[in-house]
Amino acid sequence: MTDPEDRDLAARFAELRSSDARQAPPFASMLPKAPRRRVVALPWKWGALAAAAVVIVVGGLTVGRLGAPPRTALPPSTLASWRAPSEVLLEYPARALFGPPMPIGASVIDRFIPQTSVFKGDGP
Amino acid sequence: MDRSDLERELERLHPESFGWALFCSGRDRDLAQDVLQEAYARVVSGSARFQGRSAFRTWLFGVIRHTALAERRRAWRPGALPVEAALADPAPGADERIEEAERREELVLALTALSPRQREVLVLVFYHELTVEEAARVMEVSLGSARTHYDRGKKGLLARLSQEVRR
Repeated sequence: MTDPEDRDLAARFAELRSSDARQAPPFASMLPKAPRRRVVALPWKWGALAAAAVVIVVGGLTVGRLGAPPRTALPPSTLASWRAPSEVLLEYPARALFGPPMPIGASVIDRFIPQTSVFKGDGP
Repeated sequence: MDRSDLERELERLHPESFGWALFCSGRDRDLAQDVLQEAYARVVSGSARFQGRSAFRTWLFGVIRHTALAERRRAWRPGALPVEAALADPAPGADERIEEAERREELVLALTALSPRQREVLVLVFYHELTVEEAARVMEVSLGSARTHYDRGKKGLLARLSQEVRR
């Protein structure tokens, strides 16, 4: 800075600098004592949107609960009477054919033929 | 640098840092204090870390500049120097000459006529006595760009100040 203009500018800035330095707050008051946690203010628009969302969700749940049919208590079941939901898959028309073995002299079709008459002879 | 070293350096540079924060905050004293407090918190907490690639002062001024930009964006404040804020500085005391206060006001008003980049480079060079190269580092621009801003800014500032003198 050798120009007279530069020197004049430097002098003006120096005056401003010394004036600003007198206004500087004490250093100790500027230094954080503990890590600061900045609280970021939520813009009011976001707050309003969040509140509206909560109202909609709560309202929807309430209306859904009121419109639903009342729940009936299931009858108590015992372990012996319990049936698996998939048990129906085990039902097939010829299941009886594969049941327990027939006694000697009996036929597998006996159980399907109605016993209308019983032979009561004297026998040979 | 450990915390005590950092604090010692910050304290040594505090008046200068406040001056730079004032310029980065559009000469708004309250905003400058907020900016400086936030910048110190970043430095002390380690979220801004000095790695010795430049002088500590150059690096610190960069942190203050970034913090001021972020604060202004957050608070929706314009980047230009508001004249009202510049002139709202405390009135000169009884021991201060009125003439000196007027010269300061002229300078601040003349600076408002410059572009932000021109203002930054002139403040860094004339107010903080940095070289143009150091100013370029603080401003994160190339040396050539900083020189251009410096030359144009100086011409503009001198023209403006000579107009003020003629009035």
